[in-house]
Amino acid sequence: MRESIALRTALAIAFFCLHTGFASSQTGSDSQIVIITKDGAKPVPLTKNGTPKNSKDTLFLRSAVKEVPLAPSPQEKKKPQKTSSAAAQSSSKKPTPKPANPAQRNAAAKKDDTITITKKSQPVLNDDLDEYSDIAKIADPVESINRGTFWLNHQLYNYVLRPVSKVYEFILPPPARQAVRNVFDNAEYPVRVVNHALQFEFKRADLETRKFLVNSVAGIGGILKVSDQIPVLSNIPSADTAQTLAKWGVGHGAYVVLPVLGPRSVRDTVGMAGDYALNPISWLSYGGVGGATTLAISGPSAARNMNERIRIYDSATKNAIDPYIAVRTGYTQYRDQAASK
Amino acid sequence: MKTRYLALSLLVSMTCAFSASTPDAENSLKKSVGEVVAIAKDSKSPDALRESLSPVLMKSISFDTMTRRAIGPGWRQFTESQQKEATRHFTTLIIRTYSSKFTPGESPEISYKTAHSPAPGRVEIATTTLYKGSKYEVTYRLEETGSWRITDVMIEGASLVANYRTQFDAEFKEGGVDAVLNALKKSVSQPTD
Repeated sequence: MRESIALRTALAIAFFCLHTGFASSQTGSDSQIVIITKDGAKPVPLTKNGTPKNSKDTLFLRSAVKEVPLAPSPQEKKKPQKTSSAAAQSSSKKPTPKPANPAQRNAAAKKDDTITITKKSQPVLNDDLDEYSDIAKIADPVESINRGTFWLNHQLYNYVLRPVSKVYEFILPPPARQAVRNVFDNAEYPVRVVNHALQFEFKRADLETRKFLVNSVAGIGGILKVSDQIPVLSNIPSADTAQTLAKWGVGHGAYVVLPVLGPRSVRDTVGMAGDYALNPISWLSYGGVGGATTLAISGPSAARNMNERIRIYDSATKNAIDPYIAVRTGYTQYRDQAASK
Repeated sequence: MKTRYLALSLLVSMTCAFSASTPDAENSLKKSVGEVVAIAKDSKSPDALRESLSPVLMKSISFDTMTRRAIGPGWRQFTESQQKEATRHFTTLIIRTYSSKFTPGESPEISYKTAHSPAPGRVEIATTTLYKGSKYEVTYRLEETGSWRITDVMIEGASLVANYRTQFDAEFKEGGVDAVLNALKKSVSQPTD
């Protein structure tokens, strides 16, 4: 079978070489080719430079007959126009390429039987304007409500959480903040290991367990992230419940902006509940530990998350055209990437 | 048998030609990123950082390509002067956005992963960036337009160009070319901090 494919490929290449070789040998000043028009077959003289070729880097046959529209480019075939308004408007206004000015159009109309050969000065780039049309699609049926919640969150972030976050940064020097981050990351081990297992990533679950043991023992309860010094343990992809749902084929569902917590899809909101159930910090309140103690323990984690959230929020909304859409797109892409790991 | 070798050797030579440009793209990116990191480390303020980064980004990034793709098919309805105006404003926005990712005096540690070429003239280079104690996956897309230039940056899967594309789509739907240009002007006129 493989030999047959190789043979066919070789034959195709040989045919191509023969064809182009034959054509180039016929490129004298009096050579002709036959083209098919609506009036039947017609002989057409060639230009002195030889046969027009469909090569992407030299010359190409632009139009042989006036009434025959140009074939769509390979890029257009590969990525058909999407239903975005921009695409719809542009395609409705420009059904076929036209010469730039009336003089050129008249000239083109007179040349019924001639071949136009255009020299391309630039290499062909694989560049089409619809390249990003499929990215970050998510249903947003309650956009007006979401925009309201987004506005409230914006006020909350700027006037309440940002000052608290600055106080946290002021109280704790960077190494202490890193230690807090490490301890809570380590404690969230069950979230990751259970979800790796649910995603049938048993090798990752095993590595995650080793990382937990190394950081808990050698890293003194997770304060130091010793695993970063061990290559095999330093870059294990993260796992959470929403990611597991995505791998099981659950779609995003609708986009929702939750008060305080910010953007979520319905799938991620369900996932968040799963992560809460798997997180040992949230078990404290069910284990007879008092509310104040739970708050004291989870407080630094909340501050750490808040800090991170504000940084991400700033990064997504600064210099945005529409901060709401910027956050929605950024969030959707981020979650799509997490689900693909 | 002979034909099979002929076909194979042709395919191999095509593959070699295809991937030969990847190291050029990698070198180009490493040079640009190295300059950015050095500037971030030596800068004293966000404004100084942005000012110093601007010339490096101007030669490393293909702002024309970025603007075209961020606006999408509606770009065809822009006149030449409107296209230039949009590109100028978008360049300012991208430089601001990119500069805002760095804190003066702090430099990230960047490790490069294997580059791959998804299409001729295109290379994607994934990196792991360790910055302020957090790890980020940053992927650079480069294209050869005379020289290798960055055409998109994806941080944790979020593409810079796609992010603006969805925003411009909404503006274009509302009010066409004028709405896009007005939104750009408004965004550029906002204070930087």
